[in-house]
Amino acid sequence: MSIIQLLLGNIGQAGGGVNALRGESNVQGSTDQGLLFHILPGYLPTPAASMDTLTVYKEKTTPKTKDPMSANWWGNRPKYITSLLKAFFGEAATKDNDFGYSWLPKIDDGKPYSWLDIFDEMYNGKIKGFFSWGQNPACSGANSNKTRAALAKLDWLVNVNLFDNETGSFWKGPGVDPKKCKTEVFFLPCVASVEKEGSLSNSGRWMQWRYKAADGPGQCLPDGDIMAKLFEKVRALYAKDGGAFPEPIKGLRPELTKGGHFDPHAVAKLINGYFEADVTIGDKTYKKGTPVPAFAMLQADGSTSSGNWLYTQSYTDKNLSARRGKKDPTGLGLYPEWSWCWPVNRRILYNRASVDTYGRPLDDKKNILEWKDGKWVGDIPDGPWPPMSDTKAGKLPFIMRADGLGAIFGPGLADGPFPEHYEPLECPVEKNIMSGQRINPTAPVFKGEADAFASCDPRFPFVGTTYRVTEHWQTGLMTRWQPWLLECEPQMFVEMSEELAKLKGIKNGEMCVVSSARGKVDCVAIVTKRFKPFIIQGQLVHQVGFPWHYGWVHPKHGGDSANLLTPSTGDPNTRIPESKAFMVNVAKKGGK
Amino acid sequence: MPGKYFVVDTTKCTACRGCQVACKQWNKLPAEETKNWGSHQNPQDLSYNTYRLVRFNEYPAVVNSMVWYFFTDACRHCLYPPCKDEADRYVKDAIVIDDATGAIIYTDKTKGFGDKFDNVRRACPYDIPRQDAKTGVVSKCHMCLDRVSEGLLPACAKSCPTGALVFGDEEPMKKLAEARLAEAKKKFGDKAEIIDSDDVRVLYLVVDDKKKYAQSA
Repeated sequence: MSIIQLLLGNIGQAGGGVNALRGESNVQGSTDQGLLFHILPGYLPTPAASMDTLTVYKEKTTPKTKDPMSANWWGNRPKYITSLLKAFFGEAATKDNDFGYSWLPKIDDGKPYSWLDIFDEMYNGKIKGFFSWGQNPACSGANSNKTRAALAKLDWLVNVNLFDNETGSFWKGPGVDPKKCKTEVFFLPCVASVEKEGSLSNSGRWMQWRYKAADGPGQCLPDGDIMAKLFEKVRALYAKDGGAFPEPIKGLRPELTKGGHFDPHAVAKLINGYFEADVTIGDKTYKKGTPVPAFAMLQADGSTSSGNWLYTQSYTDKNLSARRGKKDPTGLGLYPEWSWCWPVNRRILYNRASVDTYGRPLDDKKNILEWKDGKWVGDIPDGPWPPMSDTKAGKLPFIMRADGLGAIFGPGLADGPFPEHYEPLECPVEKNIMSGQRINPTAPVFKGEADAFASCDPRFPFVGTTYRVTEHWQTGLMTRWQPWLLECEPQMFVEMSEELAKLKGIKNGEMCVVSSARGKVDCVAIVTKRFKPFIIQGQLVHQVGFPWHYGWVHPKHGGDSANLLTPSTGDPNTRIPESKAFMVNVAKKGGK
Repeated sequence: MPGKYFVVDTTKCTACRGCQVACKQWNKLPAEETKNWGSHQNPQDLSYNTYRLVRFNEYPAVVNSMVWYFFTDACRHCLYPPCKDEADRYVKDAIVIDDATGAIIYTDKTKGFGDKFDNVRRACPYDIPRQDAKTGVVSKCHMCLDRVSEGLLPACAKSCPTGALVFGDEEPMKKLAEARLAEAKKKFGDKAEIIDSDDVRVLYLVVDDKKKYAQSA
């Protein structure tokens, strides 16, 4: 999508976004704040083992340019990593100890630590303990049989969730003998998102503050409180008994876990960042302890903190993310006073690509930004510089690229530098008609017993895909317990064409078994005109589809997870599992 | 006739079933124990505890490979309700008409129908009323009279995210229905119609033979 938008010249235009449809309301927020293994908050690369000092980290991760027209915004990385370390470690982070850089966990160079990789390590017995926070891996991850087997290799598992689920109860799941399971499982009940305060960031990067709608039931706690209490306990034990590698435990900034309580306002303010010393910028002096007004003021010398440079300005004297202003001065739906948008309330990224070299909008009907009388009018411009016709001060619009240009040539990607079409790891065709290479040679392929694959295999002749229904969310953990939603979508089903149903002698509403090289699931057949066979490379190919919302814990006749069928492989860069295209068989239950 | 009206524009319905669930939530109606019966339509039919049901029907189409019709089915609140005419023969005023809105309201007196309930149900051109097997009380959509009399929208209309189910006063709703019909005719052809527009307070816009949406549409 971003390649197409780039080729169409739509990047930076109103309505030209990729507009990813996310599976969760806060996917943007989670990546912004460093949920993924390869990035720290603010898209700073996770330090690798070879980057043994902060100086080396800065040297290796800060891009350089000699082009005066390139803003090369990532040239500011030293300011952002130092401010992040100050946010983590506060007073304990000093120039002499590299601001605590050596306390950060390091990844082995070039080694991935994604979901797929973690569960492969767990399956191989290399991970001993696991905190499962608000998730249900036994149903949500690709290749559930492998995931469930992996959980049995753990010494301990902490399941933080609203309800019992297939992850916490894996030891009494289908085909598991509890007597043979050594894993000790702890269940910590937490509150739901509407029972705590905090922010979500949507796909348009709007940070939206939410108040707490209701108290959680019983002794359920916000997950932040659970973390804070655990951490305070660990910190107390370190103070009493000592322990290995005490510096990051002792040094963690106190307000993050103060009194065993997670304070969303204190954390949001720290994410915004503070001046950690009196700092003079231009003719203005900012006092120690006051909030940093914008990320351009963050410093590399430890005099500022910021938990995420992109969010600086969000919470200064006011919590801007709580705003609900409805003005829309451009008439294009930017609503600059509704919530707050990173960075610096800029509603459209790369918006300087929406104007010509004189700063005139390329599209009159979508005037989001215009250079008028020596200043930018409209959205917050993507940098203060004048248009590019000013050859001295003007800058290229793609400011996060060292060369300042948008490009589909992408060195650094596992399967780059050019985009290429490959068939899925499991597919119904022998050949990739676009090239001589059928599957992505850099896709993760694991070697264990649970990682069986079957491509162009007569045992699994049909294409399988997984999806969602409106009534259920993710593995159904929050929706399977809702009687009104369950009434609408009570049971695992498989949708198939009338042609395939006829071929397999399956009638609408009959119970079927769908199987892959990795597992099988009982499903009620929905025979529908919405599925049609494909002609692919001259051959007739049938497809079936099923949702992944169900699990054996509840309801009794709901069925189990579609991920029992899906393969644990995926995209080599993001390592997003390939759960939307794989090969299966379908047969009437009890039949052939 | 003054009072309140619904517009149901089936071309805008995505079958999210917000209306169906919101109805159950507001009226505190229990979920039925259902199973997947080879369709996403569930429960399979209206019942004493299901006043509103989104019906799903697939048909082959001329242009595309198929069409999928969604129809949020509930009481039409007839201007001259034949169910009341029939019911008054057995229990006077078990069914009443609310003056302000025109809502057709089934009272607890409906339990007096006994085995005459079948006649009442047959009198309904849209096959809406349902009787509780235990108490004999008959139920159906009551236009959320408890909400509407407090100035709120009915729960179903409040929940609709696409503008398929709209509620309001006679004049704006009739105007809206006409405007939507004109639009639908342009896009989907002359089969588009408002079902029984002179007889009911729920103005359904369909673009194909109404029987394709619901047997008793």
